[in-house]
Amino acid sequence: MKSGAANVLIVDDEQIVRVSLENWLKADGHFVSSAASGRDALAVINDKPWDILLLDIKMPKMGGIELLQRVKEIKPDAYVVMMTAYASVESAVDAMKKGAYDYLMKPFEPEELRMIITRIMEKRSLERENLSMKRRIDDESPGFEEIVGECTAMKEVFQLVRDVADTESTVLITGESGTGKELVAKAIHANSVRKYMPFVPVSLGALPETLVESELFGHEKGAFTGAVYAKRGRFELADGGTLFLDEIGDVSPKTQVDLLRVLQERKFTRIGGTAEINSDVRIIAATNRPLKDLVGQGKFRDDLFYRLNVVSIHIPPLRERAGDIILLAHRFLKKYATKTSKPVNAFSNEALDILRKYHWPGNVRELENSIERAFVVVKGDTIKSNHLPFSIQGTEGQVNTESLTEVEKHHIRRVLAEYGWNITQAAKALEIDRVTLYNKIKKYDFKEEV
Amino acid sequence: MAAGTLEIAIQPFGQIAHGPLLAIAAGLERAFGFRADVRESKQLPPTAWMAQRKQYDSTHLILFLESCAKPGDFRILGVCDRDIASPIMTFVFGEAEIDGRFAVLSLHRLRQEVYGMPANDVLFCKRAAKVAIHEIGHTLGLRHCFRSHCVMYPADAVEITDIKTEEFCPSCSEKLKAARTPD
Repeated sequence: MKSGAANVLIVDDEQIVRVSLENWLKADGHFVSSAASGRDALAVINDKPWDILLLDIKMPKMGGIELLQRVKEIKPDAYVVMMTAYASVESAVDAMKKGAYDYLMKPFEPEELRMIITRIMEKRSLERENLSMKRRIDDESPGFEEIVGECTAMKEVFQLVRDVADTESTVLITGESGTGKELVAKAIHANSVRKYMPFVPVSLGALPETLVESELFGHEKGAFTGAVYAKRGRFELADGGTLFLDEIGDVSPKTQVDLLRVLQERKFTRIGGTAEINSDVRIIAATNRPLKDLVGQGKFRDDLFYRLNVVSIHIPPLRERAGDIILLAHRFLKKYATKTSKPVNAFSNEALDILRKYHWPGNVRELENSIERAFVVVKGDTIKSNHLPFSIQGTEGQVNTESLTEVEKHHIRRVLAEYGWNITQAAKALEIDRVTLYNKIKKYDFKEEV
Repeated sequence: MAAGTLEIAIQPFGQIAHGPLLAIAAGLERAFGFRADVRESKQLPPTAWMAQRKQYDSTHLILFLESCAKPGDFRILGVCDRDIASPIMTFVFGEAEIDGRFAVLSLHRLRQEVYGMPANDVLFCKRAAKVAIHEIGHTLGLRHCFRSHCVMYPADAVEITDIKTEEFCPSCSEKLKAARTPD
């Protein structure tokens, strides 16, 4: 199929017209079918994804205009081009009002038809591109499936996300580091009417004070030393979408004032600029700091706090939702099995026990990192306790003072225990040959415990 | 069947000078390697006349060519000197059945005189050969090609016919190779 080739359905009661149009359209590389009446056309309307329908206005029984209306009822997006030898302004206006894309008066110049088809196919291509982009956004946008949790607190979070998504309210998400605040913000965005517009995150805590203003509001060329080009800020980039202000509790008093102004007036100026820029953004802010306490201490402006805290969502730390740990662990197991193409599909009971008992100060992020790390070392289909980081096995600290020999000794003993002293399997897991393993056992004087 | 033994029949309609017919035959032989044979002229069928438009109906002529076919004709090209148009187009230089046997062309709009310019027989014959190769290309399954030098480039004006060559582009040549040997 040449690019821009269309599936065309010709509907005309005159055979000679159908043949002639078919010859012409096929010569241009299009795929053509024809129908001799409105009834025949309706019988095949669902057979193919027609790109263009060429309908003759004057046909016995069902005329072109009636057929146009019927086609539009079945396929509202169809591109219909009407043809007639008896054109009048009235019939053209009537056809266009009823949804025809264009109107051709027979006989027409070859180039006229070619241009209409090209125009329609360009529109079709844009529509397809748009649709595939929307599908990709739908596929890639984290919905609720990205946030795992069955405890009451998390169910409340889900409900709040659902309730707040389709509103324009500013949202303040609180929770410890690693609890998934950005994921919740993305879920709100992905479930809102703004989902096809940008989601722009900005981590305010990570930006040096001198850069915050320029990052948020942009700057004009020459606004300050080094401003070689004009730059759009995050407020401009997020126009129409959602701006996620992470670590809002860490911003300076000056930035607090700037933010308050833009939240109140919904407009701002670039550094060094004079023109006011309107920005239609939804703000979602997040912090791991107790913002209300900071207000009490005079470190955070109360007016900004109330502006941001229209709806607040608190994400509990992982240690308070112990029931979700194993759920999350299995989610990450699946994720990294796909990502690494390793046939890992389970945790050993001992590994699950370690995961369950650990207090997870780094929350979900730490859990995910631990599973990701386990995938680096795992050999079989099961993640065992020795694949988990020492830090969560409760042995962290010891290794720092151990010599390399000691580390090797401990590791070999653990692997041997893991494989029930099956030398072949243990050697395989250690990636050494069996003879070397026997030598090590002899060297360290290991004895199988019965 | 080996190339050269197949025959493209050229069917003139009405009075046509030998020059353009021979140019068409030579062009077809060069382009396809088939033998081209000029038949005895026939009258244009009155049923193809569109009185209101004062043109002959090209699609009608194609359908009429079936009655002119002889057993063994590989492709048949009708040639007339009158203005032709399809029922839906204001005019055409030629029309063909895609992947079919019949094609038709008109010499009328290929003459410089039609555009108020002095006659140029060499240019006229070149144009006739290009249109003939283009239409027979369609009967062999080739679609319009949008490489401007290729003979399958769609020409809605003689200026475009003059720009394109008598040759097929590499892509159309490939397609032609697959199509030129009949089943």
